Amino acid sequence: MTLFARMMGALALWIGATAPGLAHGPTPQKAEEKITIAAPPAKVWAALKEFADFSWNPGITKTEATGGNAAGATRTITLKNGKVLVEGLDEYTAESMSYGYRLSTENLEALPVSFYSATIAVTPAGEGSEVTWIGRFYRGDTSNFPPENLNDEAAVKAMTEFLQEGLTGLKAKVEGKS
Amino acid sequence: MRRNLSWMRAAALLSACLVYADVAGAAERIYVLSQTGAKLTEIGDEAGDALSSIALDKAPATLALAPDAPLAYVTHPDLGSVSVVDLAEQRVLRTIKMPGSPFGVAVASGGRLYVADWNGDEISVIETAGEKPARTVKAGRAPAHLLLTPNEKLLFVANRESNSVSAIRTEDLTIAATIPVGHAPFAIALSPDAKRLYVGNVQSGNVSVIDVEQLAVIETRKSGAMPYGAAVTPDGARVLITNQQSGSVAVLAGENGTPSSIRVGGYPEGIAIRADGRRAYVANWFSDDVSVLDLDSLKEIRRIKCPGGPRSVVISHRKP
Repeated sequence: MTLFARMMGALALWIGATAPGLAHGPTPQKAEEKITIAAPPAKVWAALKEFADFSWNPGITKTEATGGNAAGATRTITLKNGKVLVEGLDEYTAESMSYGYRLSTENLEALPVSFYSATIAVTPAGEGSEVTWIGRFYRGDTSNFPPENLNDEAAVKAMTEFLQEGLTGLKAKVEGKS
Repeated sequence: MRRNLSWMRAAALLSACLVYADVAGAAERIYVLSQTGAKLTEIGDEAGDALSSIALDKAPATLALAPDAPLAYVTHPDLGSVSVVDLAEQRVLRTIKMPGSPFGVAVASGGRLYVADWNGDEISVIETAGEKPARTVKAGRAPAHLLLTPNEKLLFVANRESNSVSAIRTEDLTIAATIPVGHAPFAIALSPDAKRLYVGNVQSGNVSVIDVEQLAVIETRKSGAMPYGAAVTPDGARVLITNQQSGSVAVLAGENGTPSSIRVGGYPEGIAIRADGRRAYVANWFSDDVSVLDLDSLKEIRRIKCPGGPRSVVISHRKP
């Protein structure tokens, strides 16, 4: 193999590793976070029911949305780190106080995941409520040799922290402590 | 017997979705493949729980059953390998090293293996019985599930990132057609008469219906959010689609209309139907269980706990 061919090969590998595109990889990861909130479910649902309103989430600094709460609605969210993600609403069921959405435009600098779908739901729990937020996602680099910052562990850690921060903020807001 | 044989092949060759019929007296066995738990588990119907598990290498994704041997072929995309599992002896016989990220798999009589390389955009063809070198066929981008017709003449490939299905002639490994479908095709299932191919399109939330003779889409039907698994009832009358994002199974019947929906566990993926058409089994990836569906009442009747991250369910009638 010539030096040129080797260099081109290395370049191709490098491009492959750094620009995976909106790749859905073959091995999904999961994250599930729950929080109990000392407020009735209706009050908790009122705080998060607008897909366009992410103001309860301290991890998000700005949200621009179109389409309301209908399937197909989109929101463009700016994370605390200044990076932007676009999400699309898939299913919205006010009766069961839940909605599911997915990542439409990935940004590995925002979150080191190449694709995700997530569902948030409010359920009664004793006198108060429980909010469950689950995510299914793929590591940032879906090749078989991801760098440490784009591997499965990095994706799970980032997604888990993202969900935790959001739920903690929701609890503080609904319980009137923020 | 000829008819039974073709049914056997049809059934064994579906990977995430398996339809089975017409094998009187044969005992069916239900196998669940768990990705996180890295196990192939046989589940019982009456007992209502897991019977026995075979430990596998890391992160198995999909599997296919051999039509003429008690073998399962399991892909490991992260490891670049396929495990050959002996279902009778309940152990891994050997591991075949594969290029790239092997995902979808199909196996023909005589041990010819087709494996999709998710990141390499091609299908490897391996004669497991002989010494012949592996060959490859170019597919679309991110080839997902594979499916052989019962006569083993055509191999279908769902190309997730190119929004198409490839039909490959198995005789000479040439492309018979590249059929445009919906957005992000993943799971595929054939009708029992092999005249229709149903393709679940993950991102567009619908099912493309392909006429196998014309190799063209003749209809597109709404399914629900993120279809990830498909199976057809033995009478061909109903198509069951797992909607991952809504945690439900859509039942498409008749010509049109809104599909009925059955609530299942979290993020359902693979689905298989028994030969009598009365029970379906759904792998719930997020909730680590299998939903047992009664297809007469269209209700979930049971949940069976299994090792973490179940993605595929297959039904075999062989006596291992």
